[in-house]
Amino acid sequence: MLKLFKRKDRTVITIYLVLVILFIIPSIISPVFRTYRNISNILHQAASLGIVSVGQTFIVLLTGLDLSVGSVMSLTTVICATLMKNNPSMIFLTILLSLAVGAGIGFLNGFLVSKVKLSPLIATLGMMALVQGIALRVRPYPGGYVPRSFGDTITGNLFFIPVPAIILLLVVVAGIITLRKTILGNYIYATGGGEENARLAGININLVKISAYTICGLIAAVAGLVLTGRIRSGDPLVGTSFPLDSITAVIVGGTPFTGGQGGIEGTIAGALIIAMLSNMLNLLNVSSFYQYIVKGLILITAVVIYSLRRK
Amino acid sequence: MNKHPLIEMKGIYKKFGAIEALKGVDFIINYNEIVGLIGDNGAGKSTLINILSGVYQPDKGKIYKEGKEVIISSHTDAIKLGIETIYQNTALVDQMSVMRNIFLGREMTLPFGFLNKRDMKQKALQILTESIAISGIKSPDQLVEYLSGGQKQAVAIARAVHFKSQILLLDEPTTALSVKESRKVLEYIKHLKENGVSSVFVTHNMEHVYGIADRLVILSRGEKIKDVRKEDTSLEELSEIMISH
Repeated sequence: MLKLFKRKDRTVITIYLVLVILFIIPSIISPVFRTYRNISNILHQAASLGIVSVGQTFIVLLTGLDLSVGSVMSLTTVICATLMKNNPSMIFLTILLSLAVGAGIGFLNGFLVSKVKLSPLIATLGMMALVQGIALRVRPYPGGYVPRSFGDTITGNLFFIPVPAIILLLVVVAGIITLRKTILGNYIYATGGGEENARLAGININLVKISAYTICGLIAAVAGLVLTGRIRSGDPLVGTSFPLDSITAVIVGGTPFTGGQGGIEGTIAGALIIAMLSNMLNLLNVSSFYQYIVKGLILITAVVIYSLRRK
Repeated sequence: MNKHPLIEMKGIYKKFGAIEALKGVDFIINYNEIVGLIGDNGAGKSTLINILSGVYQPDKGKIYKEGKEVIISSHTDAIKLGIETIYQNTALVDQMSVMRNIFLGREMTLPFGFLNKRDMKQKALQILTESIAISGIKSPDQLVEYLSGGQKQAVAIARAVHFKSQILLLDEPTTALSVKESRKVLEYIKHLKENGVSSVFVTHNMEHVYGIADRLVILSRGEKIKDVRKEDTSLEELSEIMISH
């Protein structure tokens, strides 16, 4: 049946089949898993990962990677827990500041990668440490104050749908439209698919890269805001696992490290798979270091499967 | 008729470190003309073409288009002057569709940077059906990676022609192609000449270009050693010159 679809669609369909199977099997086995409360819990957990993975997709499509997204998320929680006061205009201004900081860090990444010609690994690794340091300087220990109104809104429901899931959906839709329907998206695919050829076609490669990294930083800040609502404090290390998780989500979702193909459609399934597996392991009381082992195995398995399929 | 040639390069000199790649070469492209630019590896033909396509700037010498001096300091400048380069491995992006490749860098857009896919698809279909050499491409949505070498060349050329290039610079276009495919590409270039597109065909293989060229220019060690209309020479004479230098 899968032969009816084009190859790129087949990859996306396969990954969604895996997602559905991963949902059905524990639903049959575990009464706790299939409760509204638990599913809503999964969506809350998946939201920040899903959001940041959308930004990561932009970068992996360009054959890069962004290791600084986790630090940006941590810094966002720290900024919010430090500056937000219990009045609407301060909350609003703090949100704007967080987004601007995220976008600014992304812009710097893009500048280092394109104009200074650093490898994405080195540029974003350096930025990861730098931003981490700033977050720790501002708030060495978790704490601070996040207004109830902000936390309750972010973690609340709208027509029985968790607000984080709605934010995730908005980010996903905006991301897909940008990549599939706009000239910037076209240039991201072209640059990732063949940088030299894209340059010869007259495309400003540096501008494309700077735009993509800026978008990734901005989206990481959005993910950080959602996370702030959930933990209701500033935690300088809360984002540590997100670079690995988001890259895993992108790769599992069918965007190869060689760039130029794949997209957010698959990434979201990848993020949901990771969130669901974490949730299952939590329900089974599996300790967190085993969860790291599981994630590592998923990433390596996915890369092996995809590279075998492409031969 | 215009009294100036379409392109005139005068006294082009280019040095890379200690190596003189071009030692003051004059090179002309006329209207409706296919020029065969021949020379061994290292003769300077790629350097000359790269200067005309904006990749390198000459150390000395001037370039005129239709009698007016021009400075070509980038690839984009060259495209603006109607000079398009078709590379051996065709500057197309493999993972993208034929349509997206045709319009790459020159997309049709709606407001806010949205792609006008409907119009692009229609135009792409028209281009595919009108250019004779692109046979076997069923849909503009087909990915370029599934095309043959000749089809890729043809798409690259059709793209250039659609965007009103007057001059095609073809750098070893037939090297990577089968005999049958290169004949198709050659026919296509000839057909374009009748429609007012001049071509410079760069090769080290004289037999490939002799059939379609109107004029042949031979470079050797950075100097022009022969510039002759085809009717005033013969394949034997040219081969003789190539070997003796």
